[in-house]
Amino acid sequence: MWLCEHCKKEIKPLAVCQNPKCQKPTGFPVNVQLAAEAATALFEAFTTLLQEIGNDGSATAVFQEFSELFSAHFRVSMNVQPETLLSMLQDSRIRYTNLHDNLRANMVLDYDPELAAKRRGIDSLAFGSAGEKVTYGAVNLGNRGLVSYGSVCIFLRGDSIQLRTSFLEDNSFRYFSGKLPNIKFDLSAALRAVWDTVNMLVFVKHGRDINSGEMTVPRLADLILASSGDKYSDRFIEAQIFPPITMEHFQKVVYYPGLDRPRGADRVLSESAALSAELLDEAFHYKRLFAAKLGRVGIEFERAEEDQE
Amino acid sequence: MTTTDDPLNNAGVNADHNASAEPDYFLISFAPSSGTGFYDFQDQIYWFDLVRGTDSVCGPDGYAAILQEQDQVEARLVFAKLDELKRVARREYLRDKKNTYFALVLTAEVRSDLLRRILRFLNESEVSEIPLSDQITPILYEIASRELAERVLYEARDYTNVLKCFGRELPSLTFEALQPALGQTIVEFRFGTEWWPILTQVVSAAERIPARVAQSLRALVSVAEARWAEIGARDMLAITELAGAVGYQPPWLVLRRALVSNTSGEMTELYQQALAMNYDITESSRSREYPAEIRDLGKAALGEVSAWTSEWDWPFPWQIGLGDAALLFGQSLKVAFSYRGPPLVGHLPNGLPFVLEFADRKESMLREILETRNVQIASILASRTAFWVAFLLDPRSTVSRFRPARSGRYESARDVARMTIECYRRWGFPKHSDTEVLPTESSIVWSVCFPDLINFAALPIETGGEGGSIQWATGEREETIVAIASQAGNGDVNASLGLRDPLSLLVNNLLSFRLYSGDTATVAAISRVLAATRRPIEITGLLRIVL
Repeated sequence: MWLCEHCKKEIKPLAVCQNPKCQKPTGFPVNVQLAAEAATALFEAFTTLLQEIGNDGSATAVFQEFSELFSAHFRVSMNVQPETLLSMLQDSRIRYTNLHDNLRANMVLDYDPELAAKRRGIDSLAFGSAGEKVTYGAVNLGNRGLVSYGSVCIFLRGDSIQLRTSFLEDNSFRYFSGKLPNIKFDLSAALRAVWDTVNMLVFVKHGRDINSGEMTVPRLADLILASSGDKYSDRFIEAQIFPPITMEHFQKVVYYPGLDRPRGADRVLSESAALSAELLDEAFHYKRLFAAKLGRVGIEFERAEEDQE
Repeated sequence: MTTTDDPLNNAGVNADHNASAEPDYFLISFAPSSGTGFYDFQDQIYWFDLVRGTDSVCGPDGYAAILQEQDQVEARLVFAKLDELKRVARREYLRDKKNTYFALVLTAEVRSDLLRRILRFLNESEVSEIPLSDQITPILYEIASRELAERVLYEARDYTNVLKCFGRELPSLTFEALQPALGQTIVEFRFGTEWWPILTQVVSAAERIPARVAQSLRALVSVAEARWAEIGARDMLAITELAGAVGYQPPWLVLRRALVSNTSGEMTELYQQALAMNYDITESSRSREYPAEIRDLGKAALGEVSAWTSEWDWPFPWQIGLGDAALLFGQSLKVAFSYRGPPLVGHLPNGLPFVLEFADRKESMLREILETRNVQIASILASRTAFWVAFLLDPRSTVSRFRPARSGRYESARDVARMTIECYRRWGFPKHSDTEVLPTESSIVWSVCFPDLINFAALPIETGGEGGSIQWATGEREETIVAIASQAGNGDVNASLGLRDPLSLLVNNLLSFRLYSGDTATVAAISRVLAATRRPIEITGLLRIVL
């Protein structure tokens, strides 16, 4: 339940407060507002599914059971490379923010204006009008996450991101179509949810499978999120988190050294990646390197012992 | 997603890219933390991973791939070539690692073997040459532990590039961390410890030394000045460098005093240490800015030359007193020994170029001279070095201090020639490859043996015209040349020197010098001598002086 900070009445995460006497801006980020506006479509799909599963009330019972289990274990995770985590574990201000600050040469500044216009379109598509892009994660009940994006799975603190996180029933890849310069990103047919309704979104997507099998956390986790290392075949419910995300937003970090990306022949780059992995190993396995820092912030961290894949 | 090999390493993919009518590669985004990025080429989006060494076509859903790849920073950079794009990406990835590792080692206690591994990575020349991000350094000052910084500096004692990075990029933090070690060095006079090279490396790399540290370092040099005899050769050189870096006094002056004060017979060791020091002055030499030690030596030489001329009218080397010889000797040999850069290029006053080189072969010879303490020979070498370096720095002023020789001194000059030849007979004459057009050692022999030739050549320069106000009779000029030629043509001397064709070498050098200085009369005289001896000559491009 969310309350308007002005009138203190309960609100949905839309652009303005729904209290007719208030109607002040809610402050929810745009991605959350858009998801809230799509609530009707989600409810319709949910109702239809319940009817398909069973009109005798059994579907509702299954959903109740699922929701309890889901709520107890639901988190949003994101996967990164070991080097990225190592960078994130330093002071948050150390993180790289602007490529242009560091570049002085090799840029070709004059190029075809039409090409430039087309590329500006790509930029706004990819990075949004404000230049701030949301971070993409996945609904995760506790498995290793989207390992195609890196061998480190970071679980975020729900209480620190729930007001700025929205959900999409599938990977964004599915909603792009066309070819340059007529690229479309059409989410009109996609189901979306906010934090309070993500359980419905998951149920709409996987309700039949949930209903037909054992209701255990490992099974549900693998049903909801499956990643074999290929981004294009990953199956998951996408989370869009409005920035910022820093170390303070981490709840738990799990490192899977067996899933580190293979290293190429370049000696310096390879050594850099190997060194980062070694440092994470030092931190996660021997609990030495960042123990004090991570302990202070209250982050759980572990290293998966078994070699995977 | 279709995976291909890295276009940088795959001729096929490169060929496809290069065949395009569209000339540029548009870097859409890049993640410096992970080394992955996206670029657009011919309406196709490519995803590359520097660490894996892969480059893949994404297809139309590549935009979603950009959205979801963590840590992507929008780039909007256009490159004419893919390898330029990759080079920039690689540099930014390594910069991010450098930022991260510096932050890490300055804020967390890293196990020793891992710390050394990090330092080895940071010491890679490619990494060390990339500066930390501008916005990172003030944050590092804020978050770094001084105790950890001290430990890291100590562990980095064998990683010169890392120490230089500390001195160059984090000077305040570095000197704060070094303050205890510096204080201990001063108070306990502890040179030669492991902290000493650390201190000297970071000081030499720092563009700006904090006032308090500079004051401490000046105090340190001052303490050293009082106790030169106790200081080893390596530290002596380090102190002279420190003296220059902190504005105490010019290094050569400090070293000169050190040499004079040191009676422990360490001079040879000192020069050997100087030899071992690798002065990286290639860049400055290329840009025609002479290295500091050359400038300092030139200034010193000018001063010495001035002193000789005011006292003795003519600077014959054997007229230098023992003390003066030692002083100048110290400076000039320091440069001759330690200089490892390319030839120094200068210009004659008439604008024509000449090249000053320091011969490798001089090392063994000079070391033997040092051992024999033959002051006369040493003085000759020192004065010649001093002259040419001074000439390089300030030709007009140098030349003007050498006045025409009085005829009575020629005998003495020949004496010196004989002595020098004897010197070369004992220690061997440096040989040059047959392919070298101008074996310039001969010019050394003759410029030493006949210092008047220097003056001879310089006359038109000084007076601004051929012959100038001091006229040489043609006969006099010819007489000199013939005297030289006859000496050079002496079969015994030739054999002892190992010269293939000394006359040709000599004349070639003389001729090139004379041509450049515009003395057509002398050229004509040389031609007459050559005609008489029926020898062919080759005219060379530059006047090269080898010290």
